[in-house]
Amino acid sequence: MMANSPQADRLDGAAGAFGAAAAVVIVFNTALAWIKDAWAPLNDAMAALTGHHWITHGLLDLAVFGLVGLLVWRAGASFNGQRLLLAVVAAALCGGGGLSLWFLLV
Amino acid sequence: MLSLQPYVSDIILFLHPTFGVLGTMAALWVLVEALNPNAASQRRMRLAAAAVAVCFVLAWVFGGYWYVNYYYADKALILHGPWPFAHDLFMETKEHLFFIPAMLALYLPVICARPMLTDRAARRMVVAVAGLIILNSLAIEGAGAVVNHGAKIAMSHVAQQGQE
Repeated sequence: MMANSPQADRLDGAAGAFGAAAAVVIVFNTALAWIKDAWAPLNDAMAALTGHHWITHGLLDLAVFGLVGLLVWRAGASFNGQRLLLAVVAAALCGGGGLSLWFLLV
Repeated sequence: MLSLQPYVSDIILFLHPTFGVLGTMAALWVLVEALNPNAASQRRMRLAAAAVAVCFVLAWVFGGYWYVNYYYADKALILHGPWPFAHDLFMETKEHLFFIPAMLALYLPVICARPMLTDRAARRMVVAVAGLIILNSLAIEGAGAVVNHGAKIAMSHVAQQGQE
């Protein structure tokens, strides 16, 4: 049986922190893809760093996900479950749509 | 004895969508368990969520290795073939879109650690995250098919020109 208390709709600890980190990293991923595609010096710098811009991009995504998640977790943040869910879904839909539209139009 | 050396790039290439599909199927398993939670499903869901994360990491490693080391030849072919958009639109989108389900796949075991029977917020999040992984992965698989076809018709175009 589901709990119906207000506490039941909270996401705290690692579940909340890394949920927030997932939303942040998805937006970061899309923004970085746009910026490096529009600004060649950034793409070149990312390629020089690891040998390929895509490797650097993936490592940066991992670093942002891990760091934001750990920082929010350590801060002891607690999130409204519904709002965090909407943030993750909105980030994923806008991120995916934003990438498709960018490479379609630009 | 058969040497696998000439086929290494092909094996790596096929391992990428294989783990992608296995990870997507595991995400569907998580979704079904989350929609019907009971005392026995929690352990299965955690196992499936771990499988999602492992499969996506392996799809990332194999796909990334092939993309960085071998894709340049296909890219050149595609860009000179009749379907240059297979790279310009589909591959460019796919290579960046992949990070979205990959990050969600890493998050899935974290959220599945919560007790699904009593934690309504966690259960809803699991359903949403697993659903997003499945939708994104299907789009990526489709994009991969377009990239593959772009290279294929570019090669048949070259072969036709050679016969003329």
